[in-house]
Amino acid sequence: MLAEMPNLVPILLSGMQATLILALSTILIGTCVGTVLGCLAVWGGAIIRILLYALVTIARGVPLVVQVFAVFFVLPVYGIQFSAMTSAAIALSVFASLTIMEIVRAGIKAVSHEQYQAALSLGFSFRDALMSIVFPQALRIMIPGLVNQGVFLVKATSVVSLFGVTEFMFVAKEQIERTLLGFEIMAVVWIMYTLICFPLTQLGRTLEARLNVRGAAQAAS
Amino acid sequence: MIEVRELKKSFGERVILDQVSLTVPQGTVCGILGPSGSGKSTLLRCVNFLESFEAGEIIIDGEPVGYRSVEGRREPLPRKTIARMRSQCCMVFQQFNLFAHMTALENVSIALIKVRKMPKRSALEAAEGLLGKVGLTHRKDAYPAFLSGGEQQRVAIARALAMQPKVLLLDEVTSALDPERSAEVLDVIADLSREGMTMMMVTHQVHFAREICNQIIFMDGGVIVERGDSSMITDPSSDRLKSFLRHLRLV
Ligand SMILES: Nc1ncnc2c1ncn2[C@@H]1O[C@H](COP(=O)(O)OP(=O)(O)OP(=O)(O)O)[C@@H](O)[C@H]1O
Ligand SMILES: [Mg+2]
Repeated sequence: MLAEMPNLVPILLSGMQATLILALSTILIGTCVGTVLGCLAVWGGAIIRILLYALVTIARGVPLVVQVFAVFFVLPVYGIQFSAMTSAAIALSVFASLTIMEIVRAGIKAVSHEQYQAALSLGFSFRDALMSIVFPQALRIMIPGLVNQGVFLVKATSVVSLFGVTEFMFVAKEQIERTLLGFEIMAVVWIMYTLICFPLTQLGRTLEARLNVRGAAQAAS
Repeated sequence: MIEVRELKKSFGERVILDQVSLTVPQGTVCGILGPSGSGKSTLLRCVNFLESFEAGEIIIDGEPVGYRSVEGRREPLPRKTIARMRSQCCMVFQQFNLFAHMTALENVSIALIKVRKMPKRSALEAAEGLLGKVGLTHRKDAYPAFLSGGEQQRVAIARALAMQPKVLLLDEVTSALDPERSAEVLDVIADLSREGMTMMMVTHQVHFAREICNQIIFMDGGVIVERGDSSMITDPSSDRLKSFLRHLRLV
């Protein structure tokens, strides 16, 4: 192991970097698009809502590997070709957007309609009512779901190693085959994934605790 | 001040308000009585334009609510106008509906900041004054969940007053409260009526209504069955109102 260190560390780090980029972009895109879609799923017209419902049913029902497969092998049939990394990011972002949309939608729905009406009654614009009344309350409800989904997405990036994307899992497997240091490298893999996810869960807990100081307010009405 | 003319509102096929007309002069209080489902809340919600309506018009201080007529056609007013009208005619709800994630003080000041675009500091000052007016200065940092029902409702009234509305709409504001808490809220309302606030008030508290209302309207099945001054409560003329009042006394 020690002799291999100088070779291993840079390779694993580069894989790690790819995983981080993939995870961050997925979470970022998924949160932004998911929030917009979540709003559309609440306030959009009937057709938009049915369409989104159909999409999220597919996203949740079809195994993630199969969804990634579709982007990697079905899109090129129609002449749409991306690099492996981009394809992976697209596949994961679509999945992330749709699942986060559901969390956002449920969060908004859980804030009672009366809260929104009370704001309107005072002369709030739709936008202000959302930004200062509905979203802050929805966020508190959404945090556990969002953190779960974030952690899931970090781990889900490993799926794309099956498609030749040289992220952490992929390079780790390669190195195990090369060096036969199966146990040691796997231990590193375990530790690293845990280390990436730890700040996420921690952030979730901190936010939850902070909002909960005021959160007893939830019970009102 | 408020003028409702031949208002008609239905939900689907069901007509909820039919040919409702009434006038509430400036500085007076109009009480609305009626059995459950008679359309009292819907009437107030139309005045606040939280509900649309199909026919008739509502005019507050000379300005139409919700719709205008352009070359004989009726079309909805721009969103901005609707929001401005709402802010001049605030509603207080049976279930208080305080913003759950904000303190009493924030609840009262938020609309000043967001709707009236007041600087935060002066909004908070104004809000403190209003909380003082409803006797809740000492509770200004409490979240709604930690306030009693009566306190919540007084904060809700202060929140509506912050907009300095021309009209206050009160929808069974004491129905969720026990008699003691209800009395503290009624005191605030009585004060407001003495100060000349124009109000429309749905209530089941006929004694209170008799004391402060200049005019009383009795609704049933979406129409106004009887109207008159507060003597109507002691001396009803229609059979429908007589039986309704008898019922109220029993419970
Ligand atoms: N959003 C809605 N969709 C369909 N029907 C509705 C809706 N809101 C109210 N209604 C119906 O309109 C009728 C009048 O309701 P409204 O709430 O105005 O009655 P109310 O006089 O305030 O009764 P209560 O004393 O119980 O508050 C009721 O029969 C109710 O079922
Ligand atoms: Mg009602």
